[in-house]
Amino acid sequence: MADWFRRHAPDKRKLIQLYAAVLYNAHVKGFITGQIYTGRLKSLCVPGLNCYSCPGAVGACPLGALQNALAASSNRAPFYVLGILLVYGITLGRTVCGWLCPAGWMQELIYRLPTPKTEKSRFTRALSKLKYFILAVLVIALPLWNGLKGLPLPAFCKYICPAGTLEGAVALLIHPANGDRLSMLGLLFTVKLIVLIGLILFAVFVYRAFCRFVCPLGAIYGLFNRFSLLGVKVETSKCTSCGRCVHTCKMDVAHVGDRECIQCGECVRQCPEKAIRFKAGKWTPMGPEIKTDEEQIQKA
Amino acid sequence: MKKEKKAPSIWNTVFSVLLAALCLGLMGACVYIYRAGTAPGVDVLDRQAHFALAAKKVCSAALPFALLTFLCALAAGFLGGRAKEKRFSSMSARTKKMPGPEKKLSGYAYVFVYALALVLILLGILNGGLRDVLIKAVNICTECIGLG
Repeated sequence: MADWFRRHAPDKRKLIQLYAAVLYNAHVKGFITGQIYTGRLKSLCVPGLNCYSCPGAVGACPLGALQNALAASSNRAPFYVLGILLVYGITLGRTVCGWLCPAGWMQELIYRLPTPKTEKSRFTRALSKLKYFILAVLVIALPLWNGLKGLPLPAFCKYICPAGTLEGAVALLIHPANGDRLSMLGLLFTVKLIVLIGLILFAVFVYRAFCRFVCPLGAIYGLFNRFSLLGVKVETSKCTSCGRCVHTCKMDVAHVGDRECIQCGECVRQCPEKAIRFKAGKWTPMGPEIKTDEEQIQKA
Repeated sequence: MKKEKKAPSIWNTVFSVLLAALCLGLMGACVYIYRAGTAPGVDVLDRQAHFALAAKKVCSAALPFALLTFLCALAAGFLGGRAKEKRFSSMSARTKKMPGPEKKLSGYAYVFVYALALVLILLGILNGGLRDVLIKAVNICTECIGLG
């Protein structure tokens, strides 16, 4: 039994993902009472995708905040949300996706189900561009256009976001105190539920389907990925261009650290030349395992 | 790594065609939905209803096609051969060194970016953006969770 637990123990990344999910939804009282948190901490956006209508959410969702800020552009410019996204982007890039996002964590858990899996291909690489289209249209253009006409529309949250359906709607509606809201269920909820179920099913067969193809927050952070302070870096002096990092990566990367890279660090373990490190400026939180001579002899 | 030249699988070809057709269809659908809501005689308050109706028609027409494309996608994924080997050979032929993320910003650029972010956040606090985020976050967004 102990051996089983040792073999199946979560690695650091899984633990940090778990801590992040718990921290984002630390308002446990909300799950008990069925009421959302209304404290001032909610003015701070969390880095990952976490609906602020979740009873446990203690922070605001950056994507929801961005859409609402753009929708209110006729009254004031969305400086605050843009500043927050700039800080997260330049500091973390898509490290948020790989380490700090509850939605990504849940998809990885679902992906562990023992079913056939799809391989990445030219199709998935092409489909990964879809999230930029969703960002441009549903997150920026539609809210901005409707907001300037006085009709606020957080289009991505309203029509697609699975976090809102699962963490917001389902988490609220299963509580008896919110029984009166059941009468508000209609076509919109049905569509969103179908989207949620579809994405969950996709996640069983396709690694991080939502992150790769749909998530506009990943698209935003991906634009900062090459310049972020924290992330996987390749030492070109050691790299032999064998391509093993790209080959073993489950995301649709063309090379380590590009827009599709979620900085999970799997390539750090896989690189045969130990050329990849997970760096934060000059600090290396995660580097390749360098075995001592004794360990190498024992392994031989 | 051996460079094995494989003929493209029929599934990959069918895929590519279906995907291209789907993209063109989606673009046409967007135009159709837009025109449905902005047709002359449609009241501003009724636009969303017209958009929704047009979207419903598009979805019911496009769903079988999208389903077929998805099934071909799965077939190509399992049966269509691996693009990974091609990527190996094209990458090693193109570059001798892996193009790592060497295009970093200098230290001063990071300072500038953080200063810009700080200014944006302060401006946002001063112009009421922080308060807007708080007001939106402490009220249940029924639109966002699908309750209309």
